[in-house]
Amino acid sequence: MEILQLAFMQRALLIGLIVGALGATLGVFVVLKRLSFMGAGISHAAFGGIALGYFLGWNPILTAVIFCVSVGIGISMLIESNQIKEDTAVGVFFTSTMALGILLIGLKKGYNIDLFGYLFGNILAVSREDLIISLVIGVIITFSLYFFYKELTLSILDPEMARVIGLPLNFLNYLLVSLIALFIVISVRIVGIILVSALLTIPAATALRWSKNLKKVLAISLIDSLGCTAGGLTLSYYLDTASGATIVILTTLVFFVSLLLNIVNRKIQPTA
Amino acid sequence: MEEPIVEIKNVSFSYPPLEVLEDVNLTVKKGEFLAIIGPNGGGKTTLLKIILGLLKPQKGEVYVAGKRIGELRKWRSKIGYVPQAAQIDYTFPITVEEFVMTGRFGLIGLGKRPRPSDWEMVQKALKEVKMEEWSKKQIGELSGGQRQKILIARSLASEPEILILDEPTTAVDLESSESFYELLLRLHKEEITIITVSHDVGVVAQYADSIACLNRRLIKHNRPEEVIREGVLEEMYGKEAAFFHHGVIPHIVVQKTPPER
Ligand SMILES: Nc1ncnc2c1ncn2[C@@H]1O[C@H](COP(=O)(O)OP(=O)(O)OP(=O)(O)O)[C@@H](O)[C@H]1O
Ligand SMILES: [Mg+2]
Repeated sequence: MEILQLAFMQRALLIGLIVGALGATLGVFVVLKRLSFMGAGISHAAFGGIALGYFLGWNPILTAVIFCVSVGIGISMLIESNQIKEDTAVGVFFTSTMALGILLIGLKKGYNIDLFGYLFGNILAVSREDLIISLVIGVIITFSLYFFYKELTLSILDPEMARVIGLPLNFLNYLLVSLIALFIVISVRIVGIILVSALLTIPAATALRWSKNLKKVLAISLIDSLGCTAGGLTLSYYLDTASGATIVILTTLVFFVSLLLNIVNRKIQPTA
Repeated sequence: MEEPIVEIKNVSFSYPPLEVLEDVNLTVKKGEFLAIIGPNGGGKTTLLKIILGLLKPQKGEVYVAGKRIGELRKWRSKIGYVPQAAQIDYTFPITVEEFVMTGRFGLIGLGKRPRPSDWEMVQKALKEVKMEEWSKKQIGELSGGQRQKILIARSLASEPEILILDEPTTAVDLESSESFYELLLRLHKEEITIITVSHDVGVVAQYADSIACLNRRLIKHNRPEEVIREGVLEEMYGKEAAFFHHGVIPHIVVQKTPPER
């Protein structure tokens, strides 16, 4: 295939597959823990983080990593303290961090920032450095999910029992939120801030309708996501459309087709 | 049998402004089969959660196996718990046997995977409640009583030294309930400490070593015969205000009328 001979396309496809795989697996935990909205919230915070990076003259992606993890943990702590309901906390943070981003970019006049690229993804901008950051973060996410698989499962399924047997529940919550933040930051290049949470939600939601076995759910989600990322990127190249949006639309299409098939089948009860 | 395994000392707990437990003292000996009875809202579930470290009392101390619950490490996994109202997501993609396995997570340890011997214990626990044929079903496909049974199986799966059961036989049919109490008796013979909450005084009186009557205060903790003979039940459930004398049995707490709530 000719598109694979283009260096930027190779990088885009590679980073796309990494991001697709991570979103699919992490997303299953996110959807099961009903954290989809939290994901959307943190992704908007990424905008604030990136702007902060530019403003301070730091690496925007790395600044966003730190910023998003802090915001995610901050929201979780607020929720834990029982002061504010989850959707409210996310609602407050996600708008204010975006506002901060807009403010900071405004202050840095004359600076040429690829705003559109961060908001909607720009695979042309994927650099070697981005690829390396993605790989490192990918390894962190994969290792964490693998190592704490059993603990995360119980903390989502039955938090009270998790506490009874002495699992570090707070740590596990912060871990999950941090992983979401890490994931979002590396996906920004591919789908952009606005669309990131689709990767975290849709393949997992599709998969959860097809199996009642967590490992199979993870596998289905993974296949779905990898297929849609590769397919979406290829399509976007030939149709000359925005890569992120194409991936998300394709993923959503699969979701609805699967939903339809599922309703026709009617054998499995919905989960998400 | 004489060594204390759970010690509750001067424990008071409130959901402000409601005082739920007031100055509760209770010692459970190793191997004891204790039934806690009391009216709805009497604080039974609250007391169990305090023992488990799920709630912190505003006053007083709780020791399990000689340590504060927060200081127990691996030992925590030797506590089996069947909650009254489990907050379980029954749509979670997990099978019955995997669910029961979660009872062993404390033993298996952080980051490790279950081994064949762990799965054997899970099957054994499922057999105890006659649910082994349901091993591969998704937990959401079970009936209310069956869900209760797998909660019981999960509490057994950790090979517990203490079983803390909050109305374990609600929703369970009569036959299963009987065989469950027979199972408890067997575990009791193996020196496993059992603390169970029940409203079925007639049943627990047959099986338990002692009964604790709880209605905000611990009204009495004694052998079943004594509790029944002295009419504590009438007092607690308010059928008639009975009066008891100090000194008949050393640790009777005298209460003239049921405490107003
Ligand atoms: N989360 C809570 N917030 C406020 N009050 C609570 C809470 N949980 C329990 N209570 C109150 O504490 C009291 C004791 O509750 P608890 O659940 O311990 O009673 P119980 O003896 O287990 O009753 P039951 O027989 O109905 O299970 C009740 O009056 C209840 O209203
Ligand atoms: Mg109760």
